[in-house]
Amino acid sequence: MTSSTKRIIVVGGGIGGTMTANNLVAKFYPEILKGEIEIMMLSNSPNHIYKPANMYVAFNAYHPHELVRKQRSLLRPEIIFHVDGVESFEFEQNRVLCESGKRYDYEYMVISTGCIPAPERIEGLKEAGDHFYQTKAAQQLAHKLRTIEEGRIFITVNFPKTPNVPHQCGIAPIETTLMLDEYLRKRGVRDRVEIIYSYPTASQLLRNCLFLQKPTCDVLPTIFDSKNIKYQRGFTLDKVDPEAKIAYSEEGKSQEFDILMATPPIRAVDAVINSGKSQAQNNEGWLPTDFETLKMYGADNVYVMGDTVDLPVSKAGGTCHNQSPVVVENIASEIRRGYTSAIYDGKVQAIAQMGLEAGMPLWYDYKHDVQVAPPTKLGGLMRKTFNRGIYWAVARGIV
Amino acid sequence: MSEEIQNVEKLMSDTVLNDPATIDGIKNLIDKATPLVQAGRFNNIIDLLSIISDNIEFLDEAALEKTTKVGEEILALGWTAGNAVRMANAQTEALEKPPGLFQLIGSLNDPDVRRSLHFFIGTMRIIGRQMKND
Repeated sequence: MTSSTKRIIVVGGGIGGTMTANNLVAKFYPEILKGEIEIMMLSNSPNHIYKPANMYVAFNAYHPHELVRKQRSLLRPEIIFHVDGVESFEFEQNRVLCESGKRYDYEYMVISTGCIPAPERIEGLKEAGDHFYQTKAAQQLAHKLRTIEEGRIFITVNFPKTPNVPHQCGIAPIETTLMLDEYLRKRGVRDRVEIIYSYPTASQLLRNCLFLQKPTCDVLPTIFDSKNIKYQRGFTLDKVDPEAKIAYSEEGKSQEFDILMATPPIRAVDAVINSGKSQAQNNEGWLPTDFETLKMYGADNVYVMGDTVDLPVSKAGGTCHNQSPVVVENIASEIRRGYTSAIYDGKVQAIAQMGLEAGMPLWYDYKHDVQVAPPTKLGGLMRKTFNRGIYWAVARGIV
Repeated sequence: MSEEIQNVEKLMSDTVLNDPATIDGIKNLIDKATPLVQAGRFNNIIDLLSIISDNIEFLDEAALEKTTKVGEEILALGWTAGNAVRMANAQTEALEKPPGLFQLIGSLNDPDVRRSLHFFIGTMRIIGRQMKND
């Protein structure tokens, strides 16, 4: 790197950061060859985990090692990769301080550091609850689901306290509820295990629904009734009594459980929370992000994407897939033309796993909700093909 | 009125079949498909759809796991090799003159070069072992 080389740092080695670093190399290849631009990735792990597939681990459908690749193997060789987590952001100086003590200057920075499950933010949930958003937690849940013979499984979904910010992967609670139903049927214990799905009173802009978008919410009762899945609206988890195995809601209700399958509260990583830039409630740390340019408010050369934003879009890989080209194009446009030129329309796409076999492709954006279509076996095969192979092509920036 | 006719009428009145635009569209499709149907040329298309449908039925998680694994391995190999060739090509084109013999030998001091040489020698060893007459 010469003194005139402009460095673009991507912080975070998840799906958003990885595809963006690769896309930046493709976009800036002429400048990289001439030594004018350098792409650097900083991640706190040498490995890349396909996090969303942890929900399959909870049903013993995947072995954890199948969800892991070496981060370096997913990055183009032009990318300078350091396994060095960011300790703090020094926005005024255009640099970051890493855990190793090293500082790196940047011309532009992309923050894609994801979010972290924080069950400890609800009294008793960490002790008594289970979730499927991390590998170890999913393995623990898998053991319980494999051995339960009778009782009640209570499903709870917890939103961030910051208004209009969703929980991790909007469709995941429904996916796993339907997977749970089929899994227990396969085990032959479904008639002895009661499943109760609950949803909080406030879910982004909706009230007293079963999902964060109304068209899906409207069809869920029919689907749940056909599978004998009970459901309860207006259950905002307040606290859990781990010994009595009772979940209490802010609305004054309570539910007994043998397994408490929760979508837990989430928060940004420590370095983002401590950056001082967040305006989110409850110390959640989401960075204030322009909903069209994806630029961070308060720093003109910083972009935010994925779970780290404070936008009303799903915290999921399918979001990153649509944000990444916008971020890359805007950085390229700023460097080459002096202004941003791409606009994010809020598009998210995914293939929802509706039970163990069927799948349902879905997409939505800022202006349009998900249109529910019948789940099909072909949709399920598409999802499984994505899990097993296409995901890694997406991370490499090929798809 | 027979039950069949009642059912057809119900279908016509309850569904989008009741929409004139749907009937026009279906009529156009029938007009377009008629020569193919009459000449027997449509049969292959139906057979092809059957094969696609059958394969969807046959495809299960185990088959998918094997094929996607092979697919990812081939893709990753091609991507990794392609990236290395592209970057090495760019570095070579940027040379003002080719490196001298001693410079080339000196590059053996680079641990990355030695690692990749070990990779190639190891690959040849494994291929040689596979070619051995037992």
